[in-house]
Amino acid sequence: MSYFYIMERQSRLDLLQGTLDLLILRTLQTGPMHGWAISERIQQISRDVLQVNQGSLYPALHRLERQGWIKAESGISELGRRARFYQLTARGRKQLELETNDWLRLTTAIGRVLEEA
Amino acid sequence: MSLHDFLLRAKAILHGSKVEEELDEELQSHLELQTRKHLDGGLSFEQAKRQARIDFGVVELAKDNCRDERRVNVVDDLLQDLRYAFRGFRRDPMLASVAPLTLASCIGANTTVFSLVNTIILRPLPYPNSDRLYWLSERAGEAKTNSAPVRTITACARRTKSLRTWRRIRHGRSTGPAWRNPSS
Repeated sequence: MSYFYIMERQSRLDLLQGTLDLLILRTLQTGPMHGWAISERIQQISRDVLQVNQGSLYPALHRLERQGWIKAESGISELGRRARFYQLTARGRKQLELETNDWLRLTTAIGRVLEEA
Repeated sequence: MSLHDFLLRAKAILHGSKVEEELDEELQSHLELQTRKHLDGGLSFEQAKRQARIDFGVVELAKDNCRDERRVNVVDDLLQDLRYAFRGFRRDPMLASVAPLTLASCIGANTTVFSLVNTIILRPLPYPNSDRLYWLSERAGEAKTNSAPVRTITACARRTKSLRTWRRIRHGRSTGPAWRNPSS
């Protein structure tokens, strides 16, 4: 399953499932947000390089909620419809920190291999 | 399964329709916001709506994946599998009855054998101080039998109560009846 699209090449990028989870957690660090806002924000911040596959966004949100890393509250969207607003829990913050460290170690290691091997 | 997990699942099962409704509204809300984004980008209403759906992909699939993530489907799937199994039994009752019958006869045979072995070998003898009980036997000359005739034993038992004196009565000091503790 693809979790992101890379915009310029119009091709799907199969990143690890954990990557989407990590970006969602990081995005929610700025405050509570509903699903659409999360996907928009990831796209904006990545300067349109990453577009979240919206079909896998919501399963990811429900998965994170089940794991207790985010919690959902009912709210009203900008267009007046009821929507679920997600926010980080304390455990989610801890998880974000762990996963960020893992990600940095992984990318540093890959970078090294690409440059020096 | 954590308490948190349990509560989420319980909610999904007890308030199934409410959770479904929430999920439906959540995705509808997303589609509306995406439609408005395309409207702002200059598409007509119909085009914008269509594009939003294309962006999202198959809504029902996403819903089903959400249910999977919440583990709501586990109960549904289980019930579905049970119904399927029962239909299978009804279609072929012979096969369906052979399996439990085989199991029943095997369990029965096993229980019988075990209760025999348990009474005869495993459980201690039903007498007080059963570890001090001895099994006596005598061997007379080259006789193949190694148990004393009942008459001899009862005669000896009338004359003595200790093994040592019995040995003296029957054989003198050197040779004696073998005795062994059946539990050793």
